[in-house]
Amino acid sequence: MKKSTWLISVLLLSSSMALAACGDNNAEGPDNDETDGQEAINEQNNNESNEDGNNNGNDNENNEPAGEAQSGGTITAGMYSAPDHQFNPLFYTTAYDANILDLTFESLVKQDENLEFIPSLAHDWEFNDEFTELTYYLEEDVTWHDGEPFTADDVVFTYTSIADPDYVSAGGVRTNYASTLLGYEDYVAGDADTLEGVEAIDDHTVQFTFTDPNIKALADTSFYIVAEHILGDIPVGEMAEHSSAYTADEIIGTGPFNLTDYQEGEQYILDSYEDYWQGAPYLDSVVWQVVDEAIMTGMLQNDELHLLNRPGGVPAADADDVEAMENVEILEMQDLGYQYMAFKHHHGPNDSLLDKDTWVPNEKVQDVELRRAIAHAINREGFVDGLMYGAGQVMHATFPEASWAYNEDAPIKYDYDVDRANEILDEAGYEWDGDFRTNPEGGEFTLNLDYPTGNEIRERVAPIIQENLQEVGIQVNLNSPREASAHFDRVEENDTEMDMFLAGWSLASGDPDPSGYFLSTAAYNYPRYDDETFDQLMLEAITAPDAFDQDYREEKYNEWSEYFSEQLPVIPLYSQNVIYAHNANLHGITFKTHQILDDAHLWWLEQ
Amino acid sequence: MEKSQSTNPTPEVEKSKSPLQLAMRRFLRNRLAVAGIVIIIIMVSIAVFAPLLAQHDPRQSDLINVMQKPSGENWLGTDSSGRDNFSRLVYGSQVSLLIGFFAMLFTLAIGVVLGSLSGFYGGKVDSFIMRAADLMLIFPFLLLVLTVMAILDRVTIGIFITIIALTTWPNITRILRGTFLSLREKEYIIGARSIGCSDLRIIVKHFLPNAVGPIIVNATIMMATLIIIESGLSFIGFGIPQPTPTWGNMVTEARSLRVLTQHPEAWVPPGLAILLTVLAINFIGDGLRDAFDTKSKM
Repeated sequence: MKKSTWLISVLLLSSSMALAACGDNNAEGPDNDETDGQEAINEQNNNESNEDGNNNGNDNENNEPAGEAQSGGTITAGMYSAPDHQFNPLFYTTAYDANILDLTFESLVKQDENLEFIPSLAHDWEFNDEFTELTYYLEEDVTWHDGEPFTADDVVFTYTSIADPDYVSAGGVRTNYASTLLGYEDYVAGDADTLEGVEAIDDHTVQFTFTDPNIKALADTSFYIVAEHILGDIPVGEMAEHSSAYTADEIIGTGPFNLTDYQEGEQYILDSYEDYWQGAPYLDSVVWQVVDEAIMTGMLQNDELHLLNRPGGVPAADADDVEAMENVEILEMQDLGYQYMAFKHHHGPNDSLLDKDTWVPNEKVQDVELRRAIAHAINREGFVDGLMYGAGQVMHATFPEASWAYNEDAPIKYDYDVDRANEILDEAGYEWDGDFRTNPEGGEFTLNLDYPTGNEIRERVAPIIQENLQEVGIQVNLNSPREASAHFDRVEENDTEMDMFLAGWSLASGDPDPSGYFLSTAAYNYPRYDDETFDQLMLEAITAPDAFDQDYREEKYNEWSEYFSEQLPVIPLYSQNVIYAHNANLHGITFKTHQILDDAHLWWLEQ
Repeated sequence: MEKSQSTNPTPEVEKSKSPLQLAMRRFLRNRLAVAGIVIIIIMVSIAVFAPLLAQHDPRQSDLINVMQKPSGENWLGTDSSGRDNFSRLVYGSQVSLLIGFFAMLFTLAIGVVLGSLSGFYGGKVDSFIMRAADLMLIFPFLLLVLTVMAILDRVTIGIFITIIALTTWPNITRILRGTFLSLREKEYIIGARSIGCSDLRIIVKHFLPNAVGPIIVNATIMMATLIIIESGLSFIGFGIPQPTPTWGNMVTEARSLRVLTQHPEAWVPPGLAILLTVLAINFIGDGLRDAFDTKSKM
């Protein structure tokens, strides 16, 4: 049973969702422009192990003891954009806020290097035989930053708040953490006074009950836990605006560091929490600085920056320069996220985006032969080798190499092959007429392509796709890039002019389940793709009881990948590696595929 | 003198120079201005003969050869998408000069029409136009341009020129209004009015020719400003979108420290091109101002 482990899909993942999900919460600004910021996510998460990603990590792990861990010291960590200043975990949206929250808040369980769930605030847990009940046994000596003890009531409070009827309207986007709990529907509708699915058995035991056997139960219960004694009196609808969401000293968590001061958009000072339950952190404080990508390398060289985290990391083009610095070590890891070019298969009215009856097919992209020709025409190998200096992989299905569902042989591969693309188009009846091809009916044929700013590689990719497609006679109308949040608003809304768009998914989770954004009924089904077989394969892969067997899931995902590559509802482009950098004197960081911040109390600085 | 002219129309022995010839003479004696003319002529020739000079398609990417150092094949190396820098530099002159020139013409057209209406009629027309100009002036230019660019689907050169013209007209309008206001009180205007000339005729026949000096000077200097605006907007990513080659688009590459320090060939030439062009145009503008200034000595 513990075989199925779950992900804490909080980080990037969440940031993406946020953007995607909250058109009215426009606090994002340019933050979301970073690679990971804007995209939506997959929350699920079961994982067995992921050799590739981790080996990579271990090989480069040169943090071995340069001696005894030393106490004291302050490190500066860098990120490229400022947080949103929403430090209430229930409502935060960007990966930049998560950089701070990961040091100040904790969850019941977290994931290790192999993306297996390991104890955090809960030291043990057990399922019932049907996998409908999950009981956690909590650590007993945990205290909040203000000294109050942490109890099961805080857990109940956290999940009840997420299920609150006012949660979504107040800007919350994490309902997926509560929606599988028993009684969620009643509670969220206001028909019940308590949420049946989460219950404090005693001070240090808490039990979750799910409506159906849940193969992702651990992931669903791995959200940050917030303090009831701090937030309990604030109505959920007002939490996001309350001073406890942005005032440094009022942000009370259980984590090893405590946000004590910040200058908006410049730096965020986190001091160590001496009574941290796993022992006082070695470092005195961690300072997050918002730095410009252009001066980042210089700061690393001058010891002004000790750690560079994602989103972003070191641009691949600068990696060699940074690696050559004697005082800096870098670590390249495969990412679980990827970039893609989607086709808008349907257009539908804004007020019923998910009502398939109202969808109108976009005739231009219905022809699967056209989509295959396009896949052959795009020079994806060139993107990875040229634009990313080889620090990435070409994607043929939606699972990057870092994922356990990756199977090199499952999907059909569309290599860069202009002749083949021309052949397919000729056969499908797209005749040349002057410089470009007509559609099979002989009419003019132009595809509109939209893309966002922010991710530099992706910005460069867009004009090259236009060029690649024009080479095989497909006329592409490349719209000016928009700021990311505007782009995603546009993608979410009904825009009948849009035929294709570029975007990415940040999958912080080890679980490959794509149903959160590919299922035809999913809010993140941006391409508005609708195919029964496609949906069915995805659902089979996560339906208990079969899905508790990893091999079964793998098989289903292979089938799904193959079907996906036949139909090509979107063209997966590439997965870009994350390149972390840290000062050679900073030790003790565990680099995990999904995040690096959850062992911060073990970091130490050689002095 | 008037008397002698009226009675004795054309008995000159030695031919006196016309004001335009005098101006020309003054202009040619200004070395900087002449150097400016030469540079501009070179730039324009480069733009016109771009297809002959460039060896590559400036939009054609080559992913196997990104950020190449200068070589016999790529004289100035390639950019981050493998496009040939030299070809982009050469073709970039077309776009940058076109934008500068036509945006200037467009702005000038708006400025001349509104400025002359304002200066000629005064009163309500004047206050209306001037308040509109004030409104545009206090509105943050960059913010307005960025917003408009963000709303539009595609920014083409034509649209770009239009947006720039529609946001930069107040300055030139105010300058021309001032000029016209002072002309309005001149005796020959009163004379023209008294013999029943139509408003249009007065504006076209008497106002404009007398304002030609300030118009040309301001237009020239404005062209330099517009080229800078284009480069600036492209630099921050709100100009003509890639892969259209413009100098501003090329300089954008230097936002990365690595390019800035290790690939000067990618950004120094377009930077120099912008500098030289703008400087040259400004010299010409200065030269013209001195030349048209009748009070200046020869």
